[in-house]
Amino acid sequence: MPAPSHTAEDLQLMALAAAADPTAQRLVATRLMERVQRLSRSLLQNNADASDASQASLLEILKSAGTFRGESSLERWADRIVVRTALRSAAKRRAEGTTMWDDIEMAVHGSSDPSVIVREYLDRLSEPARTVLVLRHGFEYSIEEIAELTAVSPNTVKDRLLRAREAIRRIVRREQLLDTASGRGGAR
Amino acid sequence: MRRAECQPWIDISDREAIGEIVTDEERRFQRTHEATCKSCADEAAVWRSLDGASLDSVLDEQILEQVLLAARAPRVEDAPSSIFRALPMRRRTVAGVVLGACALAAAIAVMARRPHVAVPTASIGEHFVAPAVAPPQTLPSGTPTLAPATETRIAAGTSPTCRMISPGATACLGAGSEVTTARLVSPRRVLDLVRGRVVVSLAPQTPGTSFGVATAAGTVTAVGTIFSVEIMANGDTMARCERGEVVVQPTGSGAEQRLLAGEQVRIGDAHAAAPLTQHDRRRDLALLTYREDRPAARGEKPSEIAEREERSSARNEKSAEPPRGSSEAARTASEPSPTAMTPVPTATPAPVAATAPPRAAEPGARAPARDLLGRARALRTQGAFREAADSYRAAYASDPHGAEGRTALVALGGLLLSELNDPAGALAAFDGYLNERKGVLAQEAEFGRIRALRALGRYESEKAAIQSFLVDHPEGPDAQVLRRRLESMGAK
Repeated sequence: MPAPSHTAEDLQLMALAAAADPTAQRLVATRLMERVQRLSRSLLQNNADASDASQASLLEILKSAGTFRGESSLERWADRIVVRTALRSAAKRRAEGTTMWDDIEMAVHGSSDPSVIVREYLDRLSEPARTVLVLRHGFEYSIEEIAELTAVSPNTVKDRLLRAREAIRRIVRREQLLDTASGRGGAR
Repeated sequence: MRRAECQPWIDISDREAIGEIVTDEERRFQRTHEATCKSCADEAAVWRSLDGASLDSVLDEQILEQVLLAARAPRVEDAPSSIFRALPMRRRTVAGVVLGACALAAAIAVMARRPHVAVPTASIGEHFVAPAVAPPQTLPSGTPTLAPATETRIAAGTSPTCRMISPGATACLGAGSEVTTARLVSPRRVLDLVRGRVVVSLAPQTPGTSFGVATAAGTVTAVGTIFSVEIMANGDTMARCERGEVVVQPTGSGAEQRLLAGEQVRIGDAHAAAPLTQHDRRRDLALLTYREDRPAARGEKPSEIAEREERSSARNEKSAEPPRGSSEAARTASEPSPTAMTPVPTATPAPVAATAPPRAAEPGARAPARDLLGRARALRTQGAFREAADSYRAAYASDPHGAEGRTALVALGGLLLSELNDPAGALAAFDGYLNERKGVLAQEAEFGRIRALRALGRYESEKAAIQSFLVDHPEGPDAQVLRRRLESMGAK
């Protein structure tokens, strides 16, 4: 999901949003909402947390509109706010002592919708692993950019990414066994 | 294909993921390999599809409106609920006391049966005005529509409908449901549910106001939350709380009952609140996120949605019963060893006999088992969980020792556990799979068994099962989760 390139209009739009222009605020929120929700839901495990993080992120984006300098696209600039908000939310969850345990679902599922299946895969990963995987594969950030966003070294990002990929790989290959056993999958 | 044969493909894929250069020759090798190896092709598809992941039941339009509202609202009380929850604890506590007082005031008002006094609604944002005097508002496409000022009755036809009925309050009516809004005036707004089901989502309300839904059976007053009230086909009324907290007060009774998030209760029932099932929760959230401009989420027509709603209502009459049968029986039973669990045949014969097609019982009928398994998956995808469970049972009964039958058993366990609130049945299914022999789904079955034991509150058995699982499967995401669980159990 690469970010669209930015234009001079974005600077103007954000300046208006910073001045609390209702139309500009609505335009910004409408344009970014899907991306914000997608990123929040990808980074956080349950819908309630993602919904909360989406709201907080969008609000922060509107409140910080005056700080947009056009050095990157509006979407990339907004992503940073979303990632930080989502990671804060995840950290708060951990601090409260609630783990991902309650949200774990079986790998055996009935859906054939690829996005639902991938969602299930992601939900089985730890938060750091999911974060790097989503940012790298879902939003096409470079290793260095992810390192900056998540405040860890590039080597740590690589390590987390490889571990996350291996975890998903194990699930995918195990599910293929399930498909084969049930006759759903066919030999190539 | 064996993992070792895939290793070169995996290495190239991983190198590319961490930003290393991949040559054209290596890319050609990958394509050639994927053409003959389903595992690697599936894995590649997963990486590609990550871009389309997520977004299933987020309240997008509501988020947009609430954020825009909050961006213009300087006061804490005007912020949307989730943003409100993100406030520092001290401020949350103060505001919580205010909201609690609102609920209490509303409850006292109902108890005393005071005549209702119409007071103009306090304006929160420029989009909202008092229902008694406001002209209809035009909102952007896709947002819930504001209830017209003079409207006293809202009825959903064959499709669900959502209305912004009051500042910060959205009500979604299931197909065939009806409410009246005559008493929807501040400060103690009450929505009267005439028939069917209504799901309400509230942002924190102006201090001194409250919001409730009343039926003939009683009143449910919110303390800033998402909740639903449903009049069942048999006349009973169910109150369910998705988020936050509500106060339930049966008509003609001074007794109040507080319902927390994730709980449901039959109004007027002396029993304690029961846990909200995942099915009910999804059903309520599905209605709340229903968009009239996008009714065919999966190609459904409005009439089909209405039919599904009806089916769900019928199922819900059964599932609304607190799970006394299986879970209570399991709780009262002495704790057997992991290898002496209830065998599956004793736990599943009745539904199989009741639902299996005649040909499913024919010996050696592998094709029917496969068909039944496919049917079960389709039903599950549609949300028809009880029917899916019956199909899984039928698939198992038709081929109890074959791959399809045994796969059905593990899938049945997962379904009973996740959707049908039957951990005892799930445990029997997983044990049935594991006790015969350990097949390719042993890891899933063992993991499911642990979850079932946890749901049953069988602490020691769960602990033993986790330890056993970690010995057999020391690596992988399940193991990571279970280690954390084991650590937390050790700390208790």
